[in-house]
Amino acid sequence: MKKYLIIMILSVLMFISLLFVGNNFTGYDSAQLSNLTANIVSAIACTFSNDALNVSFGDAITAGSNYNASKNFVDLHSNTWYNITIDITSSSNLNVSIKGTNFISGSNSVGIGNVSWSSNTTSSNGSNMVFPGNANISNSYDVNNLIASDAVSGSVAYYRMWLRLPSGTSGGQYSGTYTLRCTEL
Amino acid sequence: MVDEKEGYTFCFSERRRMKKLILIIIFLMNLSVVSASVGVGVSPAKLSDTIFTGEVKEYDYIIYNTGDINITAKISIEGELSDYIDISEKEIFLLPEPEPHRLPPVNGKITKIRIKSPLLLHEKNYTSKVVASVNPGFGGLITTGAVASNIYITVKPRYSFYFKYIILLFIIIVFYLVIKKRGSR
Repeated sequence: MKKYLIIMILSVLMFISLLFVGNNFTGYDSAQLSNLTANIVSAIACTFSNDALNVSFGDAITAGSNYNASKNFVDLHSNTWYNITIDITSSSNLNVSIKGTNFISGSNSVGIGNVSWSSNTTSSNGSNMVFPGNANISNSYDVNNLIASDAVSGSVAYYRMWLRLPSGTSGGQYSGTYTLRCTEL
Repeated sequence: MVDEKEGYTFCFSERRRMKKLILIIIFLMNLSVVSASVGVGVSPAKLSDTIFTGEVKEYDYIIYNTGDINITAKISIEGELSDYIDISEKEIFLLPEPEPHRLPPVNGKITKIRIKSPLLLHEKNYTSKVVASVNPGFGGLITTGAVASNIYITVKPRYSFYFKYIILLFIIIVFYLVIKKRGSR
């Protein structure tokens, strides 16, 4: 009986010591001699042109045809007004990717994959930015086709978009979404 | 004193000049609205840390506005740790940063990310993202601009965390045996 009592008391004491002592069994020694601190501020930031967040393919379009986004070719130099700027506060290079969701009008839909795009990181009227484009938008971020890759702070990526409206698409006001996302490499 | 006829001519040409001036002003105002931009930034650019089983850690994230207009940024978590992370402020109203943009941001606001580690018996690496997005909410293709800051968390088991419960179980077993022995007498 005494033996059991002793074992119980020792167990309780061990349990209590574990509650208050903490990291005894992690295998790490902590020996603090001095503190060295350096507060290095890092950030990632992107700025999107107003038109980049306001894309329209027209008000009276017909099925079976292809359409430019409304700001693909603007002004006398046919510049695109769709662009993303890697803000100067970005402390590292960034990738810019894109994804989208289908156009919906009531029970009808047009796949977001019918929207294609091309980008250029040096010119707002780059010769590569022509229909049918380099890639189609998908429902998840396409890491193999980036709007901009390894873009440095202060740089700009321009792009154009096109809609290929399938034949037989029912009439209606369709609305879809797309997201442009900047991430560190 | 102006001759009546000349005065009439003067008034008429002055009116035309005023009309032209008004048209120019309206044009310039529209230009400034059209060229407005929307932007968002997150600091830090990346988070890497090690936490132990059962531990809860909190981190400060600064969200800021790199565009020209006021925005409401939405904060969300993507990735493996999304079920283990709470965000203190999920929607933040932000004024634009003054030019030139700099760190730390002038008008940035803090949101706290709290990570509660999963319970593990072995070490595991997790990857997630803190995403700040802005959605003006207009256009046929409703668009969102987003920046995503990576989170890399290593969760290490803290064996003392489990040892407490093993000792408690041991005490209960010993207590049970003692009671049983006393009862059998």
